[in-house]
Amino acid sequence: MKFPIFFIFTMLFVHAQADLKSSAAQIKSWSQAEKWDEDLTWRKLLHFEPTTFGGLESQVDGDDFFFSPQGKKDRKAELEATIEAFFSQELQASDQDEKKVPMCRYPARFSWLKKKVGSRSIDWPVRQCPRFEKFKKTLIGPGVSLIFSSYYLNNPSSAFGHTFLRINKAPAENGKRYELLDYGLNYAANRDTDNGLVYAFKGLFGMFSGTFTTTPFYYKVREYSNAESRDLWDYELNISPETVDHLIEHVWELGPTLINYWYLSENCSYHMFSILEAADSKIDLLSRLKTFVIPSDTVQVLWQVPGLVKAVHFRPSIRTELLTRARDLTSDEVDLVVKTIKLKKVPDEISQQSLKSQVRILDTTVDYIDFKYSYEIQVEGAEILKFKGQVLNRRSQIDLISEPVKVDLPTLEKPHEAHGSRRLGAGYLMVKENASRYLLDYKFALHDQLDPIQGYPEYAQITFFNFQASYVEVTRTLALEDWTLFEVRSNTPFSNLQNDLSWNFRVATERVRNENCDYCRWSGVTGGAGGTWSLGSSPYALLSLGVKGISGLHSENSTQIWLGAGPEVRLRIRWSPYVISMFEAWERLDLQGSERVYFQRGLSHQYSFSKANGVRVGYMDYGFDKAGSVQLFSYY
Amino acid sequence: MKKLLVLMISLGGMSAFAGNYGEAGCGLGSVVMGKDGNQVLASTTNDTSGTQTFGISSGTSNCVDGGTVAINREVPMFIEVNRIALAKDSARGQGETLAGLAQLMGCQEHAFGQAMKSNYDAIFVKTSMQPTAIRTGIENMVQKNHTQACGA
Repeated sequence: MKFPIFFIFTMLFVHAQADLKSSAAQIKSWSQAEKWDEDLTWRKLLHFEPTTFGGLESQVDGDDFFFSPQGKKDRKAELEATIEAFFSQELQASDQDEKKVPMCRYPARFSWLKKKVGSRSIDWPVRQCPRFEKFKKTLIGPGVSLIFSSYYLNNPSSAFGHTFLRINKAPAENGKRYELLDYGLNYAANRDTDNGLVYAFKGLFGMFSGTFTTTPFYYKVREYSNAESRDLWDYELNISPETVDHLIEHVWELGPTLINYWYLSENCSYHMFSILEAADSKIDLLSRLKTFVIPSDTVQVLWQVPGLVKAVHFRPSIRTELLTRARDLTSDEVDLVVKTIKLKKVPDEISQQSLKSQVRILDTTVDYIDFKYSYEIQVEGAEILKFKGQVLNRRSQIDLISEPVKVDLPTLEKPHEAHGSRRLGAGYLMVKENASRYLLDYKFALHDQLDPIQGYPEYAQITFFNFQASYVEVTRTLALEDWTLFEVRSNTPFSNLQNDLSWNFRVATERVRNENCDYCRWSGVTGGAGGTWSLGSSPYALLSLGVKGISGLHSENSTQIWLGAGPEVRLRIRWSPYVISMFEAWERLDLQGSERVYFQRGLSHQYSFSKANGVRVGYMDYGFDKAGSVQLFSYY
Repeated sequence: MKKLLVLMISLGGMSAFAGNYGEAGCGLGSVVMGKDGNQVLASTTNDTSGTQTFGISSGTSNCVDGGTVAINREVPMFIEVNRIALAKDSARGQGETLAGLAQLMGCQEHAFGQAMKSNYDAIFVKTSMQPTAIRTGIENMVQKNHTQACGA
């Protein structure tokens, strides 16, 4: 009896194999006839995008992503190889490791192919993919949000912001959503060096590989909201549950492979768009991006697509929460919070307050500790934990539940309404004797304190690559006026609960004016520190006082080292989000180079017509010389 | 200013900030938000250092499987990663982290919050914030006191 059974099995096997083979051939013939390889979804699933030299090529760099050796460049070959793989008997076997089974490894391609075949009769291979099913079940939800984590200048790595996606689970039985239990989808570079210069170089030239990861959203909240004090903006997308399915399937496909990471182009924000397009090819986002992709700009791109954003939500960082909590305190309560923080101990007189008031004081104090010592509190045995423990203990003993903090969406900070990060300017500079000149400006990013404030932090200025050239008509000379590689200013006003110092830093080459020389150049760094005080809220006025120093090479008759320092004053008045004035003065004693005292002061004023255009007038007095300027700016 | 000088000059050395977390054995506590404050050009991103264990479809450890938290590890990992926020919420009797844990454990949010508040000392102080001990404390509390209506 053994023989016939074996015979039947063999026949079945051969038959099944023949079936699979003929199915594959059948699908391939449909595919050829209907040119499925040119289907937009197929293109997006393979991440084929135009290259610099024309033509399309996949941006995926891991060979493991393709079935065909020509897969990176030829999506028809890849399609045929994929079909063959799906119907390969050997790879479907139930004892085969799931990671090697094509339909388990490429669920999005498989779904797409099934959709293409439609109602036509085909014997599809049947195989369970428990690992993928578990992944999908854990992540799945009816919606997706794009999350933008905003700037926090005291952490320069956050200067441009960051974006990632979050899959929004369905509400629980009680109707509530628990965002912390959602998962985030993230694309980031795999750092393999701690050397910053190597890191910068490799990042700029796409020499890091990047990987897609999923992370519980609570990790993200801990990282951005708690540790780095960055507010999160949540753009809930108007996409179908089917698109969410495809997104999860597609991310599973990308997980094990590598895509080279380019900091300024194919970066985190770029690939959040590329996976959304792969999930639904009707979504058109990548074509709207500029060559250089800055996360905050991508939020504006998203916002401009009609109907794509369903709602905007705001998740305050610990800093924002603290400041909101503190606003509701009476001045006595503020005094007690400040006293508690100073003493690093809950003072006795706190018991004289009502229980409700004690709750407000203790809750604010704990938020202050979490904000101010966000890293220290995570280190076991840190000194600050004794103080924090005492405050929390005290709080736990009061039998009252705290009111949740309600933070309104800060309308002035909406990143989707911010000006574009690039700025182009044209203007005229008037100086004595035939030296008046035309000015041409280009700024790569991001925001200075006279640019329209909408969407940017009030207290910050950050510049990457600002370039200014001039042309003197009379003498027909073209010259470099200013080339700022990098400049940061942080001017957080002091308050009871915030005592951050103000500081500034700049790396630049610029034309300097002094009595001996009309065209000298200085290259180096300036830096300063001081304090900022708020003088009123309407108009919003900030006064900064500090000391600023300069160091670098200066070319006058010969190149020499230049070193100087002195007090600096700045007064910035924001009359409206679009109208801002600034007075600044800097007196400096040069110790090396010219060994003189210089005093310069100036007034500048910008009136912006919209977030896209503005006019800036300035007047500078250098002591020995004066200059007036007018410039038109366009942001894009 | 100091931060920025560090950033411009050294541009590196973040290992100094890597703490020793992860006592509960998930080895993920060390993910503590890569302290990447010293990289100008990292500004468009955050790298994956520390989160590789969340590698989609490939990564596997005792706590993570193919990109999601392994079955039966959701509660221990939530507690370990969020214990600082959890302690704060518990002292206050209310908060998003507390609500998230109640949901994860299938407990009624309000009653669970109250119980966590009254057991604050036993769960967070006496345990010196050790994640495993916190979890045991919560489990004991839930077992002793059925008013939290867990698993109902």
